[in-house]
Amino acid sequence: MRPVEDFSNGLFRENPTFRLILGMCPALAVTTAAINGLGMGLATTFVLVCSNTIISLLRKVIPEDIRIPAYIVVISSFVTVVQLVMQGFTPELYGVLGIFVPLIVVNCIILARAEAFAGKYDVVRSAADGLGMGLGFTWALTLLGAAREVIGTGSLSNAYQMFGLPQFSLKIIYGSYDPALITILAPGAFIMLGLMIGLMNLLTKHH
Amino acid sequence: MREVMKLGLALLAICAVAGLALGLTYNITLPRIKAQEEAARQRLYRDLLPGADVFKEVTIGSHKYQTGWQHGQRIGVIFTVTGKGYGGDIVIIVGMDPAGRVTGVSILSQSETPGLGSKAAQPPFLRQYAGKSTEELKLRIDGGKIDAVTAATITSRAVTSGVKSAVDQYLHDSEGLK
Repeated sequence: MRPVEDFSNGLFRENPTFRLILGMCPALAVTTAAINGLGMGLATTFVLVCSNTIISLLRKVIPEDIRIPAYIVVISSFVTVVQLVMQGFTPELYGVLGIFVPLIVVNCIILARAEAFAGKYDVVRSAADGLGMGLGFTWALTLLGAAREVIGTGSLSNAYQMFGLPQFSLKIIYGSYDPALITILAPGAFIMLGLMIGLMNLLTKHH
Repeated sequence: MREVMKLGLALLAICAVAGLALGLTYNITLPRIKAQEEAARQRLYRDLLPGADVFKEVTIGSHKYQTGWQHGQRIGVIFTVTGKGYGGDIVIIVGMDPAGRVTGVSILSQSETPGLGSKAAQPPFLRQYAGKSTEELKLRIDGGKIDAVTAATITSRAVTSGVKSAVDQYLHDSEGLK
């Protein structure tokens, strides 16, 4: 069951954010709220699956010496297509994710997977790898965003609003809560990410 | 030399295919994107000037305004101003009735602190402006009728003075109409 292993690889063992420490720019910049992390993660997952598939299909056609520029052309074309289609056909989704979409081009996870995986293996395994890596990135960013939002604002307002859930707030649960604003500011991104990488190391120590 | 040519041509082929695909996508999506943007703008105008069914750009005094019409009657104007916030420029769009009373305020773009200043760009704060006239458009601590967002006085003040400047600009420009 090779593709299944390739898929689960990105989720935990080689999680892009907590293990490979790749794609730090979006992981730090957009995770001020859980919903932003989720949106960025899903958009990245889509591009990652598409680019891995195309690059795997073309791996025998693209000459070895110019593979990096060729990969970049494929990836950036995909991102632009995704952006145009979203803008034209799903304006609500584009309103939420719009500013993150062009950022996907510079996410090094995508180029790293093209180079390390899709350029070497067949289509099914490459797509599975892309999906696993993408979802690994998604849960990491969502968790980071949720932790920063809950500690920094005392609630998860945006995410709850979007999914139509009743309001979640630490103020309601504990009577009073003074938000530690630093976690949603830039330095807090580094601190929370460091704590989470440490926690992940602690949890996986015995494996 | 032959190797270089071969690589160059291969890259050219890849770029040509990518360019063609992008061009096609662009052409297919362009009319839809334009239509969506126009619809979004119309929705925004309608929120700012409830009741208006047609919008026209009109120059009043020396500035361009969007004017809202209902049954051939001008029921208000929309004006865009830029305020100086805590984290950069805040683009504010203000709807007013012909007498210069605010009908609605919306924020087009801002880069205020998330969770603090950014709250001043959301409806619970912006709703306060509806029905206010120029003398009331000040924060309560400055003697007006607008409650500032907690821990975001600079942003609240920037938005409020932006709205006030839009109203004052319109009152000044519309002098000539009377």
